[in-house]
Amino acid sequence: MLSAQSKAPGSQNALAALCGLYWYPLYAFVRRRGYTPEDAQDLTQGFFLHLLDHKALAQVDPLKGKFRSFLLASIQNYLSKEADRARCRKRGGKTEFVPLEAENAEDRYWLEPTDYVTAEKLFDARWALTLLDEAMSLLCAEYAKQGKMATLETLKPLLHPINTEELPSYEQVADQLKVSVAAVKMLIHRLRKRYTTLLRAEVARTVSDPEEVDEEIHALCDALIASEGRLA
Amino acid sequence: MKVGDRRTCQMCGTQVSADRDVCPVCVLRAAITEEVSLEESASELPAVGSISEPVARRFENYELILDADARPIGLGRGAISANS
Repeated sequence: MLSAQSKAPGSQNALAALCGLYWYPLYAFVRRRGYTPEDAQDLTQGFFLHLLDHKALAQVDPLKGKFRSFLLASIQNYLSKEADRARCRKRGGKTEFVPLEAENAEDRYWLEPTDYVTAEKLFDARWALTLLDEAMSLLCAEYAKQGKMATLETLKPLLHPINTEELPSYEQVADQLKVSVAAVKMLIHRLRKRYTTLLRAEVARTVSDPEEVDEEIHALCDALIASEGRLA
Repeated sequence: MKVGDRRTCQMCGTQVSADRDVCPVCVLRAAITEEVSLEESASELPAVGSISEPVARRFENYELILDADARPIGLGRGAISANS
């Protein structure tokens, strides 16, 4: 996050990269606040442009804070200010900072739960799932690069299974992969470890201090538990 | 709007969307206790066959807390008992 907050060349790219990954939780937050899809797209895009304003970034202490918390507080402030302005005003001259995949965003939003999940809870839980999905995408890319996607697909259910009764035995997996049972155990061990490493690295990108990684992961756990599995 | 089906993770008891085949809370908790040494033998991992058997981890108001490798975490030991 330090690079994203810096004014050095490339900082906008770093910020754009992070926002590009995590735009949907912001969009869902704005929608849950009651804005129409059009306004939500406009406001989310306007918010990203607002972040590029040096005044906005300068308010952030680069040595303190989490990117998730910073974004949530910032968009809350942004919405309260924007609410007093004309909604139909063109923001940022229609400049598109982060491609929002508008149709895809609404499709996804319509799958969100309607019940008591607040905008803040929705944002945090959706952020956690986005981060997990990104780590999984990176893991898949690594296995694909090594030509081992079939291995990954076979082992993935064993990563952190929800229902252990549905799992195949080690022997079945060994037969499928044509390796020994001992090798299966080692492959699962490596898979878990690599996924964890990628996940922690992804979390580290969103906090200022590496020592905040565990704290942030705890917060993400709490957010997911609070959503009680209502997010797909 | 639709609310998806949910399942309860047998490892941590968290409600999880039925669309997910991996428990996100277990993944995150494992990431917290990631300091698993590389030297750890794969043979120490719980056998798939063994974790396939349903295990009761809730006893009225008590819950057995497991670490990332599904081993019970000991909270303390007294003169006549051990609490897990």
